[in-house]
Amino acid sequence: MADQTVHPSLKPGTEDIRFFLNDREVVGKKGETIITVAAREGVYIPHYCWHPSLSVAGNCRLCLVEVHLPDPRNPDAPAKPAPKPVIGCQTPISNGLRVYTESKVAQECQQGMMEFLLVNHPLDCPICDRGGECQLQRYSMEYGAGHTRMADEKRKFHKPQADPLIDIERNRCIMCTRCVRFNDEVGGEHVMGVFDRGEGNYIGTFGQGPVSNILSGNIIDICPVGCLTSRPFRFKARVWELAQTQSTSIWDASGAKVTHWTRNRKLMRTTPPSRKAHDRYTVNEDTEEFIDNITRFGSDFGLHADRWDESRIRIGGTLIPGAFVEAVRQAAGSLAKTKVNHGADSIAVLVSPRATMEEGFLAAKFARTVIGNDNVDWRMSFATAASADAASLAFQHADGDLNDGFSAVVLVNGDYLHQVPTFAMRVKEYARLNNKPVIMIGHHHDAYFSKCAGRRQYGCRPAETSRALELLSLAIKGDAAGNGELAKIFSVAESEVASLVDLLKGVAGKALLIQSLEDMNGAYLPSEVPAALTLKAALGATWKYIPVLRDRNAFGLYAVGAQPGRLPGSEEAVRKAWKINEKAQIPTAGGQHARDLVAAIEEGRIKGLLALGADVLYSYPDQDRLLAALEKLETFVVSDLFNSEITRRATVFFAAASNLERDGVMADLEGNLARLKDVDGPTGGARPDWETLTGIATMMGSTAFAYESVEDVFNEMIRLVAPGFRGSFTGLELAGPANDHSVQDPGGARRRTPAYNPGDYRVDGAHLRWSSEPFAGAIPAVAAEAPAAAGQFLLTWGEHVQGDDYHLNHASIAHLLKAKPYVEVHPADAATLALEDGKRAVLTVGTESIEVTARVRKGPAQGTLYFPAGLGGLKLTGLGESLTAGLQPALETELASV
Amino acid sequence: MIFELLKGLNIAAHHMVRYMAGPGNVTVEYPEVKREQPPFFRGRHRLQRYKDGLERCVGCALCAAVCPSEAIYLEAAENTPEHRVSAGERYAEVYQIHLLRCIFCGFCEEACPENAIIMGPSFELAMSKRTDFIADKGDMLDAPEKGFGDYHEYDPYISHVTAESDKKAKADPWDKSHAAGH
Ligand code: SF4
Ligand code: SF4
Ligand code: SF4
Ligand code: SF4
Ligand code: FES
Repeated sequence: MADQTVHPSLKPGTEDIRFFLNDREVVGKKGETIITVAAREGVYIPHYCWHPSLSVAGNCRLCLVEVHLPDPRNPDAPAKPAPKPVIGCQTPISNGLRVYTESKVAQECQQGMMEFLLVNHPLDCPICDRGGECQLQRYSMEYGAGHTRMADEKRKFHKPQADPLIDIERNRCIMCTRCVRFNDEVGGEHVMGVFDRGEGNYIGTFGQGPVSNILSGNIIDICPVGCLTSRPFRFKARVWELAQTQSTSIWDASGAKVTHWTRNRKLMRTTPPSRKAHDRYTVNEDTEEFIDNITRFGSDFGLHADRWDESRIRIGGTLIPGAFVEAVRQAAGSLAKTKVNHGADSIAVLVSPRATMEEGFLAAKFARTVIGNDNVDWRMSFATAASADAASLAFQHADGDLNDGFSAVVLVNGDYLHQVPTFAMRVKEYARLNNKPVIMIGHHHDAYFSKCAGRRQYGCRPAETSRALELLSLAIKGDAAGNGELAKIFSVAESEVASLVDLLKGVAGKALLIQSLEDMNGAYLPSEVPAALTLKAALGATWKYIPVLRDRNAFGLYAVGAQPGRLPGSEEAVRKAWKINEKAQIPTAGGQHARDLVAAIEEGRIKGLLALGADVLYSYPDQDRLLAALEKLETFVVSDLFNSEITRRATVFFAAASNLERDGVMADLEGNLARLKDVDGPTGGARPDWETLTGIATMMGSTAFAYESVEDVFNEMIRLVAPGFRGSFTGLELAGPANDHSVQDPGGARRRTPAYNPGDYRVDGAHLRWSSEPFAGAIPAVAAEAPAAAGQFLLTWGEHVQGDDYHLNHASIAHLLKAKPYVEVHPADAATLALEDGKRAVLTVGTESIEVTARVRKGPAQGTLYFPAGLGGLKLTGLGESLTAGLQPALETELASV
Repeated sequence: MIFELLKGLNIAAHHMVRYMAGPGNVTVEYPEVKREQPPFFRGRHRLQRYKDGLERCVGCALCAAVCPSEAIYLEAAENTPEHRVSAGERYAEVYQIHLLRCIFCGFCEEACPENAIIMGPSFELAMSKRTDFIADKGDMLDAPEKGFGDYHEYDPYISHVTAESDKKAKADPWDKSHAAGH
């Protein structure tokens, strides 16, 4: 394949080119290809191998068009037909060109190519899962000849079992190589290839291994035919039987939009947003809004057998199912009793980081008005209260948006691909395709970015990251005194530091500073965030900041004030909206941090707990300690989906609505809002959390909770949180079958369907922004690192979306979605250990040891190891201290015994 | 007027005498005697089999898609080498026709790519319970000995992953059996 790593549509020039498309004069930019301009102009050119997110391969030849070329010496003469038709996906436009996409020549080409592609195609549509949404079927109808001249036996391949999630049926492949290019370019791993030649040409994975990366499921959608189909969805239903709901992922904090496909309200599959073609919504094989495998295959946890779908009340030691109203009365009664007996400060409210903004808002309001304290929080997974506060400081200064593009990006720490997969993908693809500098600083670098040519890595020990950022900001401000120290921290030459400073100073236009809020033992984040903000201030106003946290709605919950010390808006506005009179105090201080909640319960300071979602409690690393503490509570009201260790300890249990059963709004890392949409209301006796909270508050005597619908809650919330927001609740819905009137109403004016227009499916939501002054605070010092024993490595860790997760554990194919434990090793360390990439090794932390796969890459800094916490059941409960670990290559005999 | 009356009576009398006990009579002694139906009669549905007992239906749901009264419900599943039900990769695990909704239009029969569902000659559709009108596979499947054709007649390919086929695919992904005149 030619060196086509950049697809032309992304590199258009600025010069206007005028040419004719089916005799209509259109304007494009120099460097654009015929197919991209045609798509923009609403002229559909059939294509298989061309994909807007991938490089141009030009191998399916279905996009052949007839062109007439003007005579360069005599521009006034009529254009002459080119000797041969050209492919629209690779041919750049030029002045005066006349393109015919529906002429006789073009039609003959299309028919010929279709016949050629169908020569060996099995045409087993009745048993093919792509049937009904297949491009081969569609083009056969629209562009094919309608009959076959093929009388011989068709070619057949044996079928391999390569991937547990993706079914590969080579007989149906049309060799467009979209899947190969997707894995190479977007997925970042060269795992698939085209093998053999001529008639024996087939698609496959190297070594028949799985297509293992976290974005691999997208090749199912972009494969235009039924060669790659979803194994979990295999034969479950025909696509035309499925109802679609446009919603958003509850896993991916990048805010990925999705379509849930349901049959009889049961989730069958999840894909990127569907597109409209021929007045129907169908899977979008040209999608650019890719989703990760957890969102795609894990969203069905609401169907788990452990689901409790009716409220329960503890009577004499057992949880007895009861009516919702009864449970509300019980919960209100016992919370009121606890409040009277032990004071308002003895009650705390916890919110799941996957709660919607409305739910978080109501929890904040409930704590502030009904309970009368500041004890509301969602940040239980942080190692210390100080690092949770550092994360909030980061959100306070967040102002970046990826949609604006960037001319350079600085990444501070982070395992982005495994925490916020599609956000990482967008950053990486933008940097790679536009050749922008990617500067990675800190103790862990994401190897996913290694395909970016403009990559520069500066590794350091965790304890030195904040010092490095501080020195860098000094150097940018012109104080080069620290360059020597910086060079030492990064283990590079001083000239290298100078060139980095020059590079950063020379960045023109918008640029991004992205920081991971992964806090490990909590010792470093409290100084890393101020250090990064100092760097941002030094770099200037064109630099925007995006803090990255894995929790889906972290930014939204911060915005609505579901945490101590923060109100959803100005105190005045809140006082008015919540009908609090002038004299009464709104509690905004001294709130209980979720992180210290367990200790507070153990000490008897907290007696009553209201938790919206048990997953927030599950994120506490020491579950045994947590469960013991829950036993001590006088009142433990929890609203959750499942029968679990945590919910079995409840005094009142509310059956919550799952991700497919509730409605609301979530914010992503960039502050864009996306609508979580219910399919058809909750199942059984389940109720969405806003109803539960409204019920309890009203029962406890509040009059400020008079909501009829979740939209009422949204309206009150958005006026406080984003007063400038001009949209509406329904306006945040994605265009889809449920709210597209050109489909619903046959008499209504029908839009002409643009064949490809991703803009249709993107909602530019409100940006949650706070006018942030440049940060001028102090950077707390970090305790010096204790020297590690010989042969020991400093352990760094972070969360992983495929790790131990309350909701993921209940997904139907959780066992296939969980990642196998691995450890990242720096190449220099691997060399001393005689460890190769992909080999097994034994990781020992304290007294525990597990077998892991070694991944040798420039991820962790030299002398440190990176381990995604929660994989393989290794508990890192010794939080608050630094950990060291030993790593040994696994011996063959050990391997055999495992 | 009298003349017309007598003429009519004459026809009636003629038929009465002619068909009283003769072999060509119009009525039959149902239910002891059942009338033969014309070949394209659209009666109760039957699901056919191949000679070797495999079901013809591959659970493609085209019949359900075409059915104007939404009388057909089916859920498909995947055949395994241990549990092979149909000739393709897929078979109908649940196949139901709601006979009270069905209007016997025959579209399902026409849509079926496998000649699996046909409308049989049976017109006996009286049942005592509403639930009995939901015919499932057990009610509709032909007895195995009734099967016709063998399943090689249906052969885009049969591509299952078995330990053996996986081994073959790893060694040589290309199935050249047809080249040797399979
Ligand atoms: S890929 Fe398309 S044309 Fe081929 S069998 Fe499947 S549905 Fe039919
Ligand atoms: S498997 Fe699908 S995407 Fe890949 S080359 Fe074949 S047809 Fe194209
Ligand atoms: S005969 Fe007509 S109405 Fe009855 S099941 Fe078949 S398609 Fe439906
Ligand atoms: S009866 Fe025929 S049309 Fe209906 S599912 Fe079976 S094979 Fe398909
Ligand atoms: S789309 Fe142009 S050659 Fe395939």
